[in-house]
Amino acid sequence: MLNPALRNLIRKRRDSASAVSALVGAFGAGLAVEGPGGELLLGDHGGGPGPRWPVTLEGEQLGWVSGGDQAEAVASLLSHLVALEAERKTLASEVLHLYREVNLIYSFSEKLASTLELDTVAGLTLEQARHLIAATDGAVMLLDEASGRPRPVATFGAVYSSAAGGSWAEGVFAAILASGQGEIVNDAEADPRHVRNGHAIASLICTPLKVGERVTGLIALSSSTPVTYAAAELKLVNTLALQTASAIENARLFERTVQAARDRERLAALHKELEVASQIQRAIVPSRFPPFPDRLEFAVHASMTPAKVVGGDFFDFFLIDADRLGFVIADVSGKGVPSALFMAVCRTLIKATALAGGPPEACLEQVNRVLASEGVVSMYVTVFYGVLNTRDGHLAYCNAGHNPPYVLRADGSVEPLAQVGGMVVGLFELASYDPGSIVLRPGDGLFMYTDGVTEATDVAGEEFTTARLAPCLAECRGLSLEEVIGKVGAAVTVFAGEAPQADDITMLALRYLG
Amino acid sequence: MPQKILIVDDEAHLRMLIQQTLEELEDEGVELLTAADGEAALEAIKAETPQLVFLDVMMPKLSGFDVCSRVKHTLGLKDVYIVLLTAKGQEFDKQKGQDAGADLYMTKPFDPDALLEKARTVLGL
Repeated sequence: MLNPALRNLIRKRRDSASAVSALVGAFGAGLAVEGPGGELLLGDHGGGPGPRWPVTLEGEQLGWVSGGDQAEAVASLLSHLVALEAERKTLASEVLHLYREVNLIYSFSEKLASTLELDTVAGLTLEQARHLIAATDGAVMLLDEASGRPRPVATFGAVYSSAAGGSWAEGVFAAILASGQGEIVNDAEADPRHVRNGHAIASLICTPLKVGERVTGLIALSSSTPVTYAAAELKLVNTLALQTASAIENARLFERTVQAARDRERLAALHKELEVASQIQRAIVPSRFPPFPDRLEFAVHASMTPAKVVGGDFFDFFLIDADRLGFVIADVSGKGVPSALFMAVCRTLIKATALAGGPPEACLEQVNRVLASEGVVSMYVTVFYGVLNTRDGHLAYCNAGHNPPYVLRADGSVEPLAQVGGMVVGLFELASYDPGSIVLRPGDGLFMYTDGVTEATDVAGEEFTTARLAPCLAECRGLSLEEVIGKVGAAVTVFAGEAPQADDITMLALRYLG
Repeated sequence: MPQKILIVDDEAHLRMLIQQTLEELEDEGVELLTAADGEAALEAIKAETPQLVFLDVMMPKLSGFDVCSRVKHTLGLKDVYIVLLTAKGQEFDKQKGQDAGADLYMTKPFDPDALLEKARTVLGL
């Protein structure tokens, strides 16, 4: 109980002071009110020494009233007033204490609402808890999603920040996490759940963090010297826990949302990049057919179906001079943007070299030298390069590691072109290339493709292979080049079924018409 | 002359809370006065000229703004330090407070420590 000084009661509190002085005045001269040390507070000592009556509060003497018959009555009235004042003060002080708590929690909520950082939330919680609860150590712990054990995200004092793992008061923590109910352990030493850490934890107050019924962590506050935590304090920590848990959940959700957004952005950027690469690839190969509508002695057709992940296929054809048609089909190693760029370089280099008019093997030898000496490590390209003499059907070629083309004879027979040439281009600077040649008679043609055709897989993972390609080509007698390519393309599509296309599918066909 | 603080709020429990917050100043000779509405506040200020007034804004009849304005402008008591108390969440018109001549405004729920600290500063204790 708070002890109001008698002096304050009769001097400071205007309402009581005026009543008391009116009363003392009414009883006339001689009545005196004295403090505990005999100092005069009200009235006068005119009556001289005489009997005096104590003003008491719960047995303690706060002062005296003396002089006259009414002194005893005044003393008991003053005692009564003092008791009332003491009660008022006690109440007011308790209310103020509660108000202080409410105010702290209020500002805590406000601060929590303004942060989405998990660490900040946990730190604020402890800061607030320390204002409200006497504790030497404390921690906000969250359940580790992998191990399911509590892991501190914020601490104060030495106990929870020094040890690793969640072993300080493991037994108590486990019980609280399991029950979802906060607990007070005032005598940790005697607790059967074995509180560790020597004597660092004498008393403990611990409450779970819950989102709905799901326990996500806990708040632990402890004292290294024994204290008696009360139910009201547990209630306060529960209040903090309630707000902290939802703020942490918000922070986590926010983190996840931000992460997801970042992932989406990165993915979108990647898609964009691949799309650009794919556009480069499409734009770089000829796309208008027939390419030479006024040349009746030969026909050319091609198609390329890029895979979702950009590969490095390309084809090309060009007139070297009036009588010579150069044509190329190639497959750059790897996939993605680097391959697409390497492909662009290869195509430009091959065409530039070829237009100089040298034989295919000399042309590829030169391209190889350039790419191998200056090229990107570990990138290479398989190339089939041929030159058709459009006057007599002579075809000179060089195959640098590419799938062997098929010769489509006018009578419908199909034969693989003899494998003459050399190594893939771009790996070994000193690689040499041999010249190959064949004569096409009017109506004969050549079918070239990349491994996207023969290595197309069905849902079971089986490949299309030349064992399916050759018979398919054998059925193409009398078909136009566009129809031949269409037929093979359709066969591959039917074969693959639901299986995704893993590689570019590229086909190039030409026919000597004489 | 003892120093005086006037607490003005139409809510009895808030008067009591502020009084209790400032109680320790009583031991240092400060007199705490209270008023439950704007008119009573004006009367008390005229009669007692307190050094400091904690003045609730939202009161029936005479608002805190009105009381403040009359004290500062009409009565010309510029030395009375006036702290306007506004409820949190309510839109507080800072301009209006400034026009009325208020020295400071604090929000309710108030922080008892901050309030006591302010009183000590203003009274030079």
